[in-house]
Amino acid sequence: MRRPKLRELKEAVRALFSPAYTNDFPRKPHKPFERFRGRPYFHEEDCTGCGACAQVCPAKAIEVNDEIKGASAKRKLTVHWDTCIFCGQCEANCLTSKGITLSQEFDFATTEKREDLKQTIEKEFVMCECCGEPIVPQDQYAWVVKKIGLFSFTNASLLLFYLRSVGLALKEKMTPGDKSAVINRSTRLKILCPRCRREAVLKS
Amino acid sequence: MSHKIIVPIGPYHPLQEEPEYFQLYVDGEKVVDLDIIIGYNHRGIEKLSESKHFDQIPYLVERICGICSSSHPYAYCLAVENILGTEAMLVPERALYIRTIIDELQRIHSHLLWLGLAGHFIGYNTVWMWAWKYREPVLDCFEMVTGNRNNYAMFKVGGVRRDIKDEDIPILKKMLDDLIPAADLFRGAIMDDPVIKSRLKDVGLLTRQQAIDWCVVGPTARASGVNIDIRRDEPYGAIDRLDWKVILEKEGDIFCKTVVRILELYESISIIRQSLDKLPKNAPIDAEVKDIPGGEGIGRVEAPRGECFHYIKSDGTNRPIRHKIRSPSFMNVASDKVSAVGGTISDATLTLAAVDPCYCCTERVAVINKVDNRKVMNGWDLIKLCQEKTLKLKATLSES
Repeated sequence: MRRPKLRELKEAVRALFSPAYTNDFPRKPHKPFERFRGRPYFHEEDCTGCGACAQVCPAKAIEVNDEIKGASAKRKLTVHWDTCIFCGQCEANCLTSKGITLSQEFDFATTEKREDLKQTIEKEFVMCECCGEPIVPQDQYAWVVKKIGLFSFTNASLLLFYLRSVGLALKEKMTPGDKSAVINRSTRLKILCPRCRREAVLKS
Repeated sequence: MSHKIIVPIGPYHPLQEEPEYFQLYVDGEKVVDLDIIIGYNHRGIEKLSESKHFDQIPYLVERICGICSSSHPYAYCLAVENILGTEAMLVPERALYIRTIIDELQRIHSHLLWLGLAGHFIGYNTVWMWAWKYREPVLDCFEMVTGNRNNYAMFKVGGVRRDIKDEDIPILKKMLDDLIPAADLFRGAIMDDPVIKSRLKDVGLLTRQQAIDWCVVGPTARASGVNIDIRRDEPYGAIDRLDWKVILEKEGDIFCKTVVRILELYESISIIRQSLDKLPKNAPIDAEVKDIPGGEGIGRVEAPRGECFHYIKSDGTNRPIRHKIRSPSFMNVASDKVSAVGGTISDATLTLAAVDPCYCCTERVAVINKVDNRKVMNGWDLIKLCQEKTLKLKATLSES
């Protein structure tokens, strides 16, 4: 009976003379490990607005809303931190892999309302110059042009978008939501949505 | 039986894993009957799983249980891989080892957690504090490797999501080296201590035949001498290439259940060490899985509490059409009906806890006197009673 007691006494004495095992958390900030999965953030400059993160999110914490207002349309991407489960799927499946990243923040204590625990970014759409329907966010178009390089010459919309962005082609005035616009041969040299492009190719 | 049943309202903790409700019928000190009512925590996970992609389900099933949160996704992945072929055929070598490491690390932290709570119930709060103190480095290693203390998000069909980096391996090895003295301490403190021994010996007895009859699994079965372990019977991961043995005890009382869990700590440490040594260098960690064909598959994993079973039926789309889960505690909890009846009330808490269910269950225990159907005490009274018995035992032992 004596020996086991001595062994436990050793542990007790060691615990007595060593500093507290717990840390003084609110006063001394805690630093998580390098690969900790914390609060996800959108990065406006790297995000293309494709919405892949919303498709793969298992908790449906990322919301994509397209708002069409006359001649322009905006895509709103919102990450709701209250429903986020910090799995990292959005980061792993991001088109640019930098558009949304998980930070090291773990402290969610707030005095705000639960609904305010979110981050929203907005992305401007490329509009179809024939029917005025939104096609994809402009940043995604730019990303595709950059990604496929010279191959973008095979697609009139991509080529036009590229030429305009570098200032080689004039920016045409868009017809806001004009569904009755006549599609003819010259329509092919415009930025078109897939439906209008099919029609334009057929009619020419 | 026509008992007047008094249901205690609260304290409910639906956030925890398995809120069960036990009703003990007592005759004086003796427990004569036991009602087990489960289903308070039905979250519809099986149905929810049918609305998610195959790639998203691991995140859902690892939230079934916070403690064995690698067993469920692992069993799920095995079930899907069973539709595609076999795990060994599909998953790269390195991923097999990483899966084994994560699974065994989780066993260590779960057993330490159980040990601490068992210590708390018998009134040894020091054991509680120490066990949880030594559990903390394991959780830190989890945070370092997987990015979170629980809900590791490591498993995917065809491999793992995150790699163990080369600089992590010395830290993991050091953690395991530091854990050996701690395991020695617990083995000594529990197996040599006369008070704990006389407190746990012959309490909550579950004989071999009863264990087979009530279909218990995992450490609860192995403590009763039933030689089952999925890791050996149906090897998964890299476990069949490593040297380890199944821990078996004969008597089936709580002392044996404790011993099985403590000795399993050593086996898990040895498995992780061997896996870290054999980890192939610069190898891929996942295979690309494109389509899941139609078919059925099962996956079985030895979770810290026993066999965890997943069944998947797919019709060729990207969502399963049926997902059936059987968790180990579901089998083990029923065995309380034989192990707790016949004992005293002060042993009942310990017996109910010995199968390692979720501990929030003990907060909703009601004791009903069989004579006048009166509710006598609640969960906290029972824990107090359990601790008092240890103190009494200590006093008598020190006198003699």
